[in-house]
Amino acid sequence: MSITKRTLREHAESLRKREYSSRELTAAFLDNIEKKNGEINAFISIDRKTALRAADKADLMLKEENAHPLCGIPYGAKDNICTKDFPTTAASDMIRTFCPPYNAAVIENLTECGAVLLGKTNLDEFAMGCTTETSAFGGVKNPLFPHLTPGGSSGGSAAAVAAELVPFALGSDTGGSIRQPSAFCALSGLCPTYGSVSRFGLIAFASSLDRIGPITKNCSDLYAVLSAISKKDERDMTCKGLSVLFEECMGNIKGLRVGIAEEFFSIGVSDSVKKAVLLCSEMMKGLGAEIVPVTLPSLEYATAAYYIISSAEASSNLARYDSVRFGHRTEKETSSMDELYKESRSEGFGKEVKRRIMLGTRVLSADSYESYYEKALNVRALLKKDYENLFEKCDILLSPATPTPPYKAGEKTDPVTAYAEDFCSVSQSLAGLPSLSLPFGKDEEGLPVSIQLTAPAFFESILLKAGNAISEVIK
Amino acid sequence: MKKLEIITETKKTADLAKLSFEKEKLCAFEADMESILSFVAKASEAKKAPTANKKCEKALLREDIQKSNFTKEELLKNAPETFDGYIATPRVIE
Repeated sequence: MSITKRTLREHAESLRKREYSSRELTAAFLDNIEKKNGEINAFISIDRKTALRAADKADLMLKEENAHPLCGIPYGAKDNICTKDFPTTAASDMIRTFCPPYNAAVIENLTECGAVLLGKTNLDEFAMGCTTETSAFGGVKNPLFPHLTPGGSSGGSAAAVAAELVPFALGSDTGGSIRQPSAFCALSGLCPTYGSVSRFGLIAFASSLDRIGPITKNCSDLYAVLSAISKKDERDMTCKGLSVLFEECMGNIKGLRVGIAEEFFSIGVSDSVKKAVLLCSEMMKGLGAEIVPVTLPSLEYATAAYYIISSAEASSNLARYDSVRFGHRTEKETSSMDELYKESRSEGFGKEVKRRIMLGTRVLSADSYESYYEKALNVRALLKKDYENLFEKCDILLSPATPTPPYKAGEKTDPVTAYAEDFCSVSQSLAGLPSLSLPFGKDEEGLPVSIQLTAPAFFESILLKAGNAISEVIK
Repeated sequence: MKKLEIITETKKTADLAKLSFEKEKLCAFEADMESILSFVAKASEAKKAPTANKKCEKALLREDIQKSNFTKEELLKNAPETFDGYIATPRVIE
């Protein structure tokens, strides 16, 4: 078996047994990237020299007995996560040459563990999108089905893992951007509880919704990454960190109450996805879990509320890109600062980003605030209450990860059609809850289908326990 | 809303957002905005949450103590244009 086909845990074991070194492992993945990335475009940038230096350092760390499980393991980071003195572009012409003077907290955490960053993965511009087609660096191909989208916005991270360019990658999730590409590439993707992983150094899209999380081949690989990146951080005062023991994520699921909410099976969910969720519930029942019907009455308003709130926050966050201190500045002659801002921003931002900024500005404007933004906050409050009530009746919610399997690149050009696809993932984002996307077989055309598990806040242990139990059976 | 009024509304929003559009693109954008606004108007159909008017919890703040030590050079590295240790911009004061 090629070295790059192995899982993160297998690499961790082999590195400890000195079956190969981190340098050899890193070099193997870098070679893979050189062979395949031209076609797939999963990575925007690679830093070969720094990666090999980090691998050598990891090989020294591996000699210590208490080396972290991620020590020596290569990974990719979504290019909206700041890396010191190395370009962080958010896949946008606006900050195409931006080199942060600091590392994001998650990069610091992984460096401390000895993990080896190979490069920055492609994404939808400023993480706004669901196909990675809005990237200023070109779209990404789904390695499993090259004519299909890998999803987005963390499409590059998902494609990198699916194509065996790295054993794990970091993505970010605001309304489904880890979970959906993980599903489309038949991978495990974890969107942690809001506040469990520091957002320091994550280029902000919607600050009350953004989260960083891992994408891996297997569910069992998620724990090592989650435990490394979920540290309390004063630089992000919304971050409380997360304490979860390995033992809590393993074991049987006897007696686990698994909720299924009918509202997730509305118009637009394909038969193959419905079938997968049903089969999964039967499997979990066979493992001793109890299936409980639950309800999420406000789900029908979730997508509308999400797009109002996320766009509103995006319009505020992206106001910093004014071409003064950093970012693209127009070369046109301008006669005022106002003109400078407008020309620079209009040249630097892509169509979808402009669309979201316009929507956000509109819903926050004085005459629209009450009709849109306040109403969206109301829906958010309803959803939080709905989930509180739901988790009194069950321990975990089982639902579709996406309404359909992956579709053709370029198929969803109408924004409203694309936005409507997000209803499986946005309610969990609005409520700040942890969610896991888990591959669950294929449909009749051989396309990957995934299920989604959602737990109460800071109960990632239940997600991983259930995910591992399911994965064991479908292995 | 009449078409002229709609375009004016979109132009107003663009001005607030510090974005500029060519006339043809503004019209196309307006069509997008109209359909998206119709889509998100769904949120207004929800019933009122019991806690809808509850004030946000007080934000946790850290001590206002400087902890980072960036040099001026590090911070100016990403500026589009610099002059003698300052960020250079087009003239703004007559």
